[in-house]
Amino acid sequence: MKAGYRLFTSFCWVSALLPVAGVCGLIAFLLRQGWDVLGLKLFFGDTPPLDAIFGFAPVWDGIWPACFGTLAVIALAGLTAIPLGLFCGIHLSEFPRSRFTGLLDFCVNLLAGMPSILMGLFGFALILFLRHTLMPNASTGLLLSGFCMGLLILPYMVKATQSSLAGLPDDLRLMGAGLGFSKSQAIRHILLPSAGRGIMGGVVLSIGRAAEDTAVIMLTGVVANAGLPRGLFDNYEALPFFIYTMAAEYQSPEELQRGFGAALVLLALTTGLFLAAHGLHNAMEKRWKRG
Amino acid sequence: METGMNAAISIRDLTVSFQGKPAVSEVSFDVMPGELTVVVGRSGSGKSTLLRAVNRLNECFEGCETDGRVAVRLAGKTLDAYAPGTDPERLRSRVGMVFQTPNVLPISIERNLLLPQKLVRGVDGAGARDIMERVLDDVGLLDEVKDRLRQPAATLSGGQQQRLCLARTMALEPEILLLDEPTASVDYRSSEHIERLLLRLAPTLPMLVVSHSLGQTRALADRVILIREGSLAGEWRRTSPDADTAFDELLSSAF
Ligand SMILES: Nc1ncnc2c1ncn2[C@@H]1O[C@H](COP(=O)(O)OP(=O)(O)O)[C@@H](O)[C@H]1O
Ligand SMILES: [Mg+2]
Repeated sequence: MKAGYRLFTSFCWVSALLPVAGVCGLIAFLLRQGWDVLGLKLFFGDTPPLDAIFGFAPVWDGIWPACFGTLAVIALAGLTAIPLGLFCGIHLSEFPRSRFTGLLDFCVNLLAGMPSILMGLFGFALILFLRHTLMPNASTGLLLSGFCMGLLILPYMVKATQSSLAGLPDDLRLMGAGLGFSKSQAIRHILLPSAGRGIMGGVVLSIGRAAEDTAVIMLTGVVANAGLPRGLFDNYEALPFFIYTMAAEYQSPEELQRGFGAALVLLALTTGLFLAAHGLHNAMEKRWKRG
Repeated sequence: METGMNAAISIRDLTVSFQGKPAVSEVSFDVMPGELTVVVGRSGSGKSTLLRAVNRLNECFEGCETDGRVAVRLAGKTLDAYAPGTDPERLRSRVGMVFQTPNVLPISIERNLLLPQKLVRGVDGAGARDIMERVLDDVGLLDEVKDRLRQPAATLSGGQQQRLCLARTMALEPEILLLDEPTASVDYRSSEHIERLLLRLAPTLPMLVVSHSLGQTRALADRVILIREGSLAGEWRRTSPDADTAFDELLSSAF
């Protein structure tokens, strides 16, 4: 009995320490490889930073356009998938069960299990189809990538919303109804804020996924050396793709090192977005609790 | 039996079942204005279900079916609660209910009282604060919480939470009050306070109260409804002849 318990607790400890060690090891490794190249030159090459940021001058040898492209893809995907996923999750959890909700649940699960390369392929096929039918000059670009990426992260949002709403105690629902709240008032003012933490988890997961996925963007519009996109239909650069090309085709140790630098930047970027998301959530929760 | 014409709540042949199993069956009675009516019965006998049938709250449960007629008197008119044209949200906002277990919102004490007023009645600002102070005073909570209104309601004790829930319902100024064991988790002193409040309100606010305590029933009730296994098993009136012995007889089979 006692030995069994000791074994159990040691397993728990080892399992808990492994991820911590893994993350610390990863960050240390990235820092060691990429620290030296971090600097304005990594971002902007030889272009003056302000000119580069505002697009007055092109950046030839820096990752600034890739940072911008990645942020744009995340923003496009998030702006569509996060609200859509939220309402989808509300539908699944709060509306009466029906044949339709069963179908919706099935589709979301299917989407969740779909490899991202299929999502990219879908976007690519969509453009081919449009070219042959409605829009002869349709081409891959930022908007298409954002759309396909949105499709990729949609199930994360739906599932997070659905399960965190479903996990709330029934008392909470009964109380809203008992006070005479309408269904939408109860959802907006009681259920969603109570489920905030779980929904936030879905948002973080979605952002991370949209920042990292390379398969989707490779088939839908990312290009090396595209520079800053001139519009939603233009090709663009992205950090994960830059890292991939650097690692796969580097000509000199310096180029590989720039790949590591870009990896550090990607990590910092997603961490920054997570922190922003948490800050937003905390502010919203505070407002809900204190008025 | 009364005609049910002037009754605050009129219940006829009410049957409520969950997944086909009846929890309340064929219950009929009236709650007259000015007559504090107390429902008693063993736990599991269907008292809470009966109360929830009045403001159609059982509809929130899946697999629940309600039969029979419930009418309530609101703003001088009799409203058929289950008529197709009846808006359950309006019904619930006018027929206030306090649950058996306190269920405060996980937000600050004052928001617990202000948010429902704003959403359900459209009252906010100074008007809402006045009402808040009045109802907190009514339930005897004002002195205890007036310096910590912005703290989370969950930091209150069980009894304080129960009184906050009562205050929250009263803040919506209901025309009929349903109370499910309002003193179940309240200490002796607060429960005395609540009982005094109910006696004070009863002449002008019709109420149906579930009670688990013999002493409380004796102190409060003008009228007692005994429920056994979902059915009406006995009634008592303070005005009936031999009221005292009849009370003891009826209640001995309830507790
Ligand atoms: N939401 C529900 N779902 C299924 N059965 C329920 C539900 N609520 C109450 N019941 C059943 O109805 C019966 C009466 O319950 P209740 O009204 O809570 O009794 P009381 O309040 O007198 O203790 C019980 O047998 C209980 O199991
Ligand atoms: Mg009960």
